[in-house]
Amino acid sequence: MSWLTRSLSSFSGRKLLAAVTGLVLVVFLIIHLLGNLQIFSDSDAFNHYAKALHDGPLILLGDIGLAITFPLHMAMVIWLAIDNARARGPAGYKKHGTKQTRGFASVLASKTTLYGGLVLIAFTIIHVWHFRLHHEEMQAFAAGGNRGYVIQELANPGWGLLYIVGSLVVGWHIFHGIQASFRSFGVNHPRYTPLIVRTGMGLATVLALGFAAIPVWILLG
Amino acid sequence: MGDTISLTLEVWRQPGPLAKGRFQTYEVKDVSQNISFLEMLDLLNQRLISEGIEPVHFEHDCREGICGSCGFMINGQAHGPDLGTTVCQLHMRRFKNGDHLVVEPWRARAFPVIRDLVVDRASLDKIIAAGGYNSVNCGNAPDANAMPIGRDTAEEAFDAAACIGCGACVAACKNASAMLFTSAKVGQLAMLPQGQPERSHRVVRMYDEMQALGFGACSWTQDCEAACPKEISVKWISRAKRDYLKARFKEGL
Repeated sequence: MSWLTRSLSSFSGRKLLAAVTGLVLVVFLIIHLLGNLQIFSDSDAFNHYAKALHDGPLILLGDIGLAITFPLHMAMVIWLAIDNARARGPAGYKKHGTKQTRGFASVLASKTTLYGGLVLIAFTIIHVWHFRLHHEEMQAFAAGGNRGYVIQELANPGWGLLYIVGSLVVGWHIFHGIQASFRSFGVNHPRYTPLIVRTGMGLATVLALGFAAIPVWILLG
Repeated sequence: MGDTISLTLEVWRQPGPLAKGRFQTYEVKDVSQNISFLEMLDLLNQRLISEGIEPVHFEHDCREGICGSCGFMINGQAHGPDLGTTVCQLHMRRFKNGDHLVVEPWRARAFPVIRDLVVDRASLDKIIAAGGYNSVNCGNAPDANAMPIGRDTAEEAFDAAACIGCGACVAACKNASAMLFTSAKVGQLAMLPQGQPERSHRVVRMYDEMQALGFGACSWTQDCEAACPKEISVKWISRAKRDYLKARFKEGL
């Protein structure tokens, strides 16, 4: 094995790639949410934004970026998860417990990040098919363009609920994921680390509630 | 004299490394709350011997929390429910009359069961052998204060050096990762001047050896720190990880 493959296939190397791609995806989520929130405006802001986005070069950049980071993130994490699952050995524990005194949510989130991620794979596939691949149809939608199309789709309780669940799962996934990414870089500081942890959890909560607010608002009419 | 309690123990019995194991239930009656958990097992074993049954094998040596020999899971908790203690320091006053306790060995692919509650922790020695030492000649013992090491630095290095290699971090980790053990052993030397010449090579060799032995990676659940009888901080994982990334990607090792 060459130096690069040896380094990147080490646990810390895989973690590094997963962390970098994960944080890129968080940045994407922030931009995505800022765009989405324009739906709350009655004006044509959302439609203008959607049109400008799809006419400009940004969408291509976004697509290429996501096409690289998303699969890379999944591949690294799944590769790690396979090794982690094997490490326990042939027999598991009969009884599970912890001695942690940290917050219940932090502990649970840290142990279920992977499962959240697996749900997100399915959610992302559905979401991309549902909106991204129906872009032409959305823009040409007679009753209110993009905005009207989104409102019509999310007013369906099945879709609405799916998007609420998806929003909460993505928040749950990065609730642990953001701080864990910084840990993967080896960041450790008596002052800044607690700040990173709190900022990460706060950002995860804001993103989850922000994304979920849209289907909730539409479902409530 | 304290009260006595009666317990139900569900103990993992496995006659040998390749034998199939199973849980065996034992009723333990009238146990003084003043004795330790291992002494309670001694009493059980005494009874089993008198009944002509093979006693429950468990590892132990100093019985004062410094050797790292003892250790198993009690109701899913490494070394039992107390923080910062080994199982030999756990006393029966911690339990209530009628408690049902599941007693299992450490579970990790790198820690194969030898017998009952005894596991082979030689993997930890292999990690040390991969680089957890100084091979440079440090000379004779220097004069006091000849080597300027601040008190805080010395104390912090000792915090990591307090690791007794019991394996509780591995046992408690959902990934059976030895990151806390390995990182503490890397960290204690990385804090001090004597550890500097081999610092980068050491962390790369020890981390890679840990991975090769079949331990898992770190998911930062921090269960290891909570389970550690010496309360070694997860900050050592961050520090050693930074050393590893630097050695690999900056120095190109």
